[in-house]
Amino acid sequence: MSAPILSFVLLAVSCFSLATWVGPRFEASQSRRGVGHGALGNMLGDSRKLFADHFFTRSDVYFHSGYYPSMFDKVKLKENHLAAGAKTAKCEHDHAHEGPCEHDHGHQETKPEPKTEKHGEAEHVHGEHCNHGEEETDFLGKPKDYFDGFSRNFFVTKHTHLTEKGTNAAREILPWIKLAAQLDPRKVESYTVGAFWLRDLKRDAEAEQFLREGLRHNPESHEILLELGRGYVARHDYERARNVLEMAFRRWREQENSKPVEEQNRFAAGQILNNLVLVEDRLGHRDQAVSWLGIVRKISPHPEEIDKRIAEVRAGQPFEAQ
Amino acid sequence: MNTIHAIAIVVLKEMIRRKDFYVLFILTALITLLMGSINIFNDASIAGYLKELALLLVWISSLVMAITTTARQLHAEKELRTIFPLLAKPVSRAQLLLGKFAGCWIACGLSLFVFYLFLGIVAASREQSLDVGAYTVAFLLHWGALAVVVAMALLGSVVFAAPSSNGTICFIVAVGILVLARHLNTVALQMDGVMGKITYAIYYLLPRLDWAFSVRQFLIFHDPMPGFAVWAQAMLFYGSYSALLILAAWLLFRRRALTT
Amino acid sequence: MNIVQPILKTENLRVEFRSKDAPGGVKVALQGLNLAVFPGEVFGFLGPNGAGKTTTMNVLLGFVNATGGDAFLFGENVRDPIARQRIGYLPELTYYYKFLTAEELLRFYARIFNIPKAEREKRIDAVLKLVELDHARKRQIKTYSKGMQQRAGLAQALINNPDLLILDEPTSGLDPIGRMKVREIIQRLKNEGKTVFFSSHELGEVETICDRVAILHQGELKREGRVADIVREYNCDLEQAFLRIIGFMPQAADSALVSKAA
Repeated sequence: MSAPILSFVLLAVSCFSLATWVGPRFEASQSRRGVGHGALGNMLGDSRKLFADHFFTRSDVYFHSGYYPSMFDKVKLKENHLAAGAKTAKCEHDHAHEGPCEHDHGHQETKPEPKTEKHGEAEHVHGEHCNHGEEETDFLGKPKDYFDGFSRNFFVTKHTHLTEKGTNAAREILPWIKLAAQLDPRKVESYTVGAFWLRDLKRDAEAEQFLREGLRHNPESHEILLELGRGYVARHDYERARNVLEMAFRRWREQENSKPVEEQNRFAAGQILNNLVLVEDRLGHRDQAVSWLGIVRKISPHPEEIDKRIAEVRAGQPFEAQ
Repeated sequence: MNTIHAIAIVVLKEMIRRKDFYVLFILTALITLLMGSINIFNDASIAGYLKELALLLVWISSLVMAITTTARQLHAEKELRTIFPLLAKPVSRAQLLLGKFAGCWIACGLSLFVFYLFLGIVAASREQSLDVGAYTVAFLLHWGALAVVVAMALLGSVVFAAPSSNGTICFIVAVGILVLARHLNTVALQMDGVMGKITYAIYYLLPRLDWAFSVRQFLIFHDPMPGFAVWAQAMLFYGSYSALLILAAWLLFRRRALTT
Repeated sequence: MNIVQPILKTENLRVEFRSKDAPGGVKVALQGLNLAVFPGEVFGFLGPNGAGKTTTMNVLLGFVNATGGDAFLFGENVRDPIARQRIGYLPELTYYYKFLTAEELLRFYARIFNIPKAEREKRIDAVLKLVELDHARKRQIKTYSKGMQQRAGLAQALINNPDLLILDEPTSGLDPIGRMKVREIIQRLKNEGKTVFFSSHELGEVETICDRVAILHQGELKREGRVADIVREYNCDLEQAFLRIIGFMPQAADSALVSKAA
């Protein structure tokens, strides 16, 4: 056998041997992952998470019809924000400052803080940073020079939402959310936000299917279970909703109870519990509803408000989730 | 004018017979149709992502076409020695440059028209409607921006020895302008001293290809296109910039020795 | 009495190139060249390789700018494109747009000369017949043989019915039949009163068809005159005379000449 062929064979054998040694160790070192990334996911490798984040942000860009700060605008805004002083710790998730509109803001219920528009019009609270319907461009500011002013004729400068453009206009964000979910199945927001908008577009079956797909990849996620429960509540399937929401609360407790109080995601717990109260109320289980409200009272910063709600439920008034 | 027209027709014939355009178009069409066949939650009327992807592919294809077609014109003429029988006729170097520019730009325009037609058909099939006016404005702005790219590649073909280096540099400059030009003033203001001033000067000097690039958003989100006055100013800007680049190319080319 | 003006004229033409190898970094390709070609004559431009023939042609055709002196075609300075309105040029290496057919190529060049459409088509037909490419007019040039490409080149040089034809080594690379055909065409053009200016290394052909010749060596004009006069002066054929003029005469050949004379 000639030298080049022998060298090639030796190299091939050593590469194969190395692969058989490294392979199992690599698998063992990885945390639990979702399976089935697909061709695109396999091609991109670990960078698919970056792409998933990018596509999720893209869905937010689409929601705002292209009106979105660039990374240079974000740097500028961050400097301005630091100079002006942060509003509250909970304001960090203002969508005009940072990337994707996350489903969970960690809002305090009584404070009118900016929420993600992805919560839908009903839940959206106009905040200090989000001037809906106004002509003023938030992050753009005044034109810095003639070119800047003229350039604004060529890109979107008005803060609008896709929902203002028609009943089903919001469907345009779905491809990006689906792509984000495919690339990073462990990104829970993709499923919750996607399902929210699917329900808004009256595609309940697709929303449920999407959430169940998310649950397969994220069985421990209370956010997905909450969204699933919300779907059942909207369809008045209260029995199923209760089962799912109770499961969600169990998951929340498993994950959050071990954390210090100030680090717990109490907003999420509040949402789960509120929906549980609603479900029990609709099922006629007032005592159970009051029991859930009791837990809410423990975690709420305004227990006196919860006492009022307890009194209302006991009095037989229908409970409205907030 | 006859001479410029004759040279332009030869460039067009070359583009049609070289088949570069067909490859790019088929690639764009295949990718677009593939993406369009994806099931997005059983909703066949979602068009935004498809338009965005198709427009991005159209932009990439048009840049590739404009730069590669133009970058090889003068080099191929010299390499294949066809420039000698041509310049031995009563043809000035200015006419040669203008003829090459016109041919390349018209070739880009024709291929762009086909791309936009395809895009319009795809969008209309999804949305059941088509704003022809908006697509026309976007197409014309795109074509105007390509005039600057063609002129830039022509200047590059006089400066650089090889079409590959010319093409690479033109591509980097064009993509850099599309992505960064709009934000250079923000970056400049965040810089101190001389660097900030230099960056701001570059911001003013750059041809604003991003104007044509940004109007894609209006097509995707069904926003109103810029008005006629704005559009006319942009086209005038593109025309002036192209003329400046061609003038620079002529100044360099007119005294260049061509040895047989 | 009418003084016949030269159709092609150079006045103290000087061309310098930058060269690392040359002394002072400058290579002088042409030194004060004074040439005159008159209407109706076939003029041979001779010289060894590197003599400056191609440089002279490049200046006449506007490819290269002269460092000093001037060159004129039909009384127009060669820097002006209009000077080339009435000339035809056949380069030594014939390359044309491979994706065009011969017909399209001729139509393209005819447009440049602003030949009206009706006359354009007539000229294309006539020229293609003359160079025997009529049968292949619709085929792309990339399918042509070398001989056919050479003929296509001759066709484009004749498309505007030029008064002056500048040919750079027109028979280079051709087989004997091809060379004969080129000679016939040159003779026909001469009979029509055209002027032909061509460079060649085939001194036998030059002796046959040229009226006058100029011999260049190292950028300098060594001799200009009628072929018959030069041959008579040196009492030998043009090739031998050429070698003597440029200062190359092998000793054995010189001795042979002396003994022949004796």
